[in-house]
Amino acid sequence: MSTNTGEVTKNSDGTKTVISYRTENGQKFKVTQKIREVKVTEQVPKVVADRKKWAKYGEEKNSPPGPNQATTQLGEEVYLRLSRNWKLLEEEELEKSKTKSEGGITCRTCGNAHYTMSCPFKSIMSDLAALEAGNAVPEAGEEEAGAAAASTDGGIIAGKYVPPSRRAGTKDPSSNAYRDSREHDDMCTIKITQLNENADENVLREELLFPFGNIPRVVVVRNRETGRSRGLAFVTLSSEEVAEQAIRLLNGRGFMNLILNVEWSKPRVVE
Amino acid sequence: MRPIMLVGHERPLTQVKYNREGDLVFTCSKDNVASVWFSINGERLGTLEGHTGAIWSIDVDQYTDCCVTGSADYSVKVWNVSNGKVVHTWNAPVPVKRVEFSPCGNYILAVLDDVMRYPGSINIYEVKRDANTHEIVEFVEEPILIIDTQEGHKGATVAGWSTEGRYIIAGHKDGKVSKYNAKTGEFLKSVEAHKQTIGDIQFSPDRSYFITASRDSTAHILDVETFEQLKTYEADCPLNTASITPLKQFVVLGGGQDAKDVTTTSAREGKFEARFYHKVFEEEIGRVKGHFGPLNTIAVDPQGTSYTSGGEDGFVRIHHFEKSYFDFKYDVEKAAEAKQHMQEIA
Repeated sequence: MSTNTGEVTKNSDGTKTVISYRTENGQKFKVTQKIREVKVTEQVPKVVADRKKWAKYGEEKNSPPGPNQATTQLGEEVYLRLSRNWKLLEEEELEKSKTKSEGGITCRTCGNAHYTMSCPFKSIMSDLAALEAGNAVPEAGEEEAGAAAASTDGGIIAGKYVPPSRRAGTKDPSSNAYRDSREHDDMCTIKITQLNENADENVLREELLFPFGNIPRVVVVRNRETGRSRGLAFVTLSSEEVAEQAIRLLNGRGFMNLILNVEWSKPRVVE
Repeated sequence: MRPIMLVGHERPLTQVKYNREGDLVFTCSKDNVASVWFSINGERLGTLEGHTGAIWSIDVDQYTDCCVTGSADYSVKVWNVSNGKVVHTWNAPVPVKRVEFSPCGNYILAVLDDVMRYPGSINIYEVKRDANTHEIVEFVEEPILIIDTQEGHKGATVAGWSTEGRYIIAGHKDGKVSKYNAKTGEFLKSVEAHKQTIGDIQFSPDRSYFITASRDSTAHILDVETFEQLKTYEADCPLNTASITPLKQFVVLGGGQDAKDVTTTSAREGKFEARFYHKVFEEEIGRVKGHFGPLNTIAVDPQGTSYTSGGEDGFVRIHHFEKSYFDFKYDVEKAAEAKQHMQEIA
């Protein structure tokens, strides 16, 4: 590898541009660096300044001045957000990042989970559309097909099939209209994964779910042939608030030697 | 903020310490080597090599002339900070778990472990300094005072000097905190501060009160004179270390449950945290992630502008606080400041 330093030009805004050429493995590279030199003056007590002049010793003997790459590294950015409600804020941040990454589809303009295509706040638009078309479900189906074809050419990922219920321009599944026309139960149902095999419906009712009041339904998903639990259960609670509380309290909690994963049974209930 | 990660140690860290001006950080670990770093950029000044066993503790005098280390190789060594050479070695019958210079710099206390038929003790060694240059000219070979573990107490794990070196405060394996007259070694007082062993004792800037951290997941602030429990901080994991921040009214706690101790902890990578609490209101106000193992030691710069943590993972992380840290105030604090401001104007 050989280096030839080219020109050094001073720019109008105080920076300087250094152009050099480098040959590596038969390929020639032109390296352009824009450098701004800043002089930082710090006032320190005399003794501190004197210490800076000390010669290095031990492992660092004969080391050049300046931090050594092997021993000193810049870590990743960490945030110290001081606040009285620190914990709440952290949890909110976690929830936000979780829902964002899980959705897969995020609008570039507003960040919500729908295709970007001329936002703003597409859910409002589809909410209105849903209310209008709420009474005539078959009509809505046709509208969807038409709307999907017309407006979502940009949004459809080429070559990938998107089911009609998830295409852009469809009714937002979590809107009020949807809730009325579909089962109320789905709103209050939570999905528990990472469940111990030996936990059956009764164990769940008595030992995990007893603080959540009267529980209409607990279903443990089982293997059709062997009858063994698949570590998955759906629990329908008395209301959406209780379900939300259950998710908050049970997610990440240890139960029968496993860490439970508790979430809504339908994706993205609250938008 | 972007912490500076120091990866010079191969084994878990046992202690980190700042010098008085806060420009140097001293770190020691179970890998028999201690290191000295510049806190502003993490540049390493040098390493202190000579111990043949884990170094449990390190301290530096107020002139940043000499530093002292206590090790599992049954010795206490004093080093020149400028050139890393050993200037004196004191031998002990058992491993030395803690060392600290007295505020005047003329004495060194060493906590000797209660193992191998030794009841455990706190030994005080004297050094003589030149009146003008403050350099140490003589080391008194025999300890001038040996404080044996008090009856009814388990061995001491940590100890420190109070204001002007009047008392020696020690924390014990059974959670007790005891006080001794530093000149005579007389046992003065003891209190059951914790339910499990005390991992760390650190003093306030004026040494009139101190914070204790224990494996029972709590930290307490006690007054030196009365041993009254002034404040309590509750954490959700066993604590190894605690420190009082100068400048702002906070305390920092560090600890963590080792993965091998727990069966139902989820895999938490880079998530062992330093916890910040408000010193007066006892509320948790924030956490700083980054370590891959429990935090074993925390030290705060005497100027209050940065803090350093050393972990079981062998990493040392220096954090320089950002503006938001210094601006953080409770509403009552803002109100009190505004009131004072008005009074000053009037």
